[in-house]
Amino acid sequence: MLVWLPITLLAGCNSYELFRVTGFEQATFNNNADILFVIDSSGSMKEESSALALNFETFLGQLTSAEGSDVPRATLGDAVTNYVRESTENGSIIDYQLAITTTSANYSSGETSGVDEGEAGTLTGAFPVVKRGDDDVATEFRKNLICDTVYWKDSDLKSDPSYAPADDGSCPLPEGEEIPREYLNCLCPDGWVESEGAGNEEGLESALDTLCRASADAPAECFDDDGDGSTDPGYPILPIDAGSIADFIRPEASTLVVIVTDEGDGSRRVANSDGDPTPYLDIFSQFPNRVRFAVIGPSYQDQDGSCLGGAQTWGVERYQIAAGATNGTYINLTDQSDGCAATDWGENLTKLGELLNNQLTSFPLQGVPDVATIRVYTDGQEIGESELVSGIVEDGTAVWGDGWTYDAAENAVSFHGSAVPGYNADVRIYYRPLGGIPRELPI
Amino acid sequence: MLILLATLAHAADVTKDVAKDTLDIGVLKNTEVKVVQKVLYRKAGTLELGAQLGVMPFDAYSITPQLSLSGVKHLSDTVGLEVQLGGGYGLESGTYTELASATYGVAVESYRYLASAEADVQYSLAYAKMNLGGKKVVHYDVYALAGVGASLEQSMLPSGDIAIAPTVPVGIGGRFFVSKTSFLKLELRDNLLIEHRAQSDTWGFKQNAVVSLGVSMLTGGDK
Repeated sequence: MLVWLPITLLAGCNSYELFRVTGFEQATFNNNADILFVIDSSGSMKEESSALALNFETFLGQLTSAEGSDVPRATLGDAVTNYVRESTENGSIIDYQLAITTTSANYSSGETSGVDEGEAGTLTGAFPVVKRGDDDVATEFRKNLICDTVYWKDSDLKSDPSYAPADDGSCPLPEGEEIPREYLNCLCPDGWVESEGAGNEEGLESALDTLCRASADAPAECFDDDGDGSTDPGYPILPIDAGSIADFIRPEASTLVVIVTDEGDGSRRVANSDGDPTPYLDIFSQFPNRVRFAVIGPSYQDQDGSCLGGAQTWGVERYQIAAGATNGTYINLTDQSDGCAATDWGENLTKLGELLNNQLTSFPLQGVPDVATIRVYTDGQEIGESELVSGIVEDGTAVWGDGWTYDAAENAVSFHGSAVPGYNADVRIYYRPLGGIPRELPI
Repeated sequence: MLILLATLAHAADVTKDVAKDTLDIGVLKNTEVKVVQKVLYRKAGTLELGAQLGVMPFDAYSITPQLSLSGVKHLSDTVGLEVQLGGGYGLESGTYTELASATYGVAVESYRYLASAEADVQYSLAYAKMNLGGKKVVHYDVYALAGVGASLEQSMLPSGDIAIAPTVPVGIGGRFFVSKTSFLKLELRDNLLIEHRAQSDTWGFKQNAVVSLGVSMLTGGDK
């Protein structure tokens, strides 16, 4: 017996590195996406907002199945249906919610001196959260956008006497690229926004304010909590505003912030002329949900500011960095190579749809990994690391070869090209966490 | 009757002879008593060939059955040189499986035993016999061993990385003689090895402690 004891004790000393194993099956991977549009409601955005409204079907077309119905997942039959959908139309299994706010974090301007609809992160529209499965998603969203968000200067509206509502009372989209007064009259019988938004466009702050209002577990940095009952310049909302937006941010859903603007970001928590949005990104990273940014904004590439219009380079840089750092995308409103001509909104919204489809190709990790130890397997087959084919990672233009990449900003492994796992594929990601693994283990 | 009388007469003669040859040595003290055991089963000069079935039960993350073949050249009754080849496969233990489940989400970079080749020196510490329930006397010897070798191991992570690990075996065992040429062998061998673990790019110390039972034959020599 005395011989066995030390041997047993010594053998118990066999020590090994512990790896995290993150396992997903696409069938159970969360395909919920909460999409917040942050619209620049200044007068200069009339054309862009019209283009967004008129081309919105392009965006929805990528996310909506032919039936436009919800995505059931209760039965084997549902699984088969989802498989067929995924095989034929990848984005159709995104279960999305849409809402709109404006870049007006400063609520003192606008219709009243208080918080008007769309200001300080509040949502616009009578039914502000449009959900997949609603009767007419496109029209509901369009109403919220056109009637309750965009500023229409009456004297600038064109007239089209030939426009007429359909027999069933619906409002068909007008011909051309401009929205006529008659269409507004049809779509917005209760009127539309006739006061301009704040002059300082704060896309990042507004998005933050919305998430703070909507999230059940918002970080303390969201709120002005000095207890004096009024908001200070640095914080447009109070603790009492927490939870004031219901049913928009769902647990474990991915949050996509789409900022549409022709200006740079002038958010208050970063000094003017500072192009680094890290203070905001740090706060966004504290939300339990994954937050990504897609920005449709002024064109500014290769230090060429010829298509910036009135936008400041540092403000545009904030958006570009935010998009790149969150694995999002930055889409130019104008084409530098084509004399600053407007880019095609159909294409722009297609890119947005693609970004959402990629939700199913990115797998968040539970801990921060030692990147050199990451190994990825799909259905038992090891997947190699991807190589950069072209573009720049930091500005969101990277094009990757087949394989996977580690995204430090998202702390996620993203798949590219033919390596993207199919529906119901078993994905396993092994890595050694930098911080180690707690030892509350059955060993 | 004649036979009986003749037998008694012979017995009386023997008793008288023994008494005549008796040497009085006085009283023996305990310290003067030495144990003398005749080595009935000899190994000197023989070649021992054997096969053993073993198990490595002490690792937290694997349990490994092992089959080994060995040859021992006995230079004397106390010293032998052994070559041993082993093979096996480390199976995931319940602990490993539980850790890898969704509850913990932890994968251990443990390495499973696949094969080994070792050479060692064996020294017989003792030769003895024991009484099994008053029915049978079994002769056995106890030996210790130490040597060098190499082990082939494989990561239990899906990468299946292979490691060839320098190994130092140490152990203790017993040979329980069944006949002049065969015996059962019970052994506890601790294989101390150091291996490079590819996925974490670390070096790790490991012990593969084997408990084995086998049969061996002695060939050659003057038994």
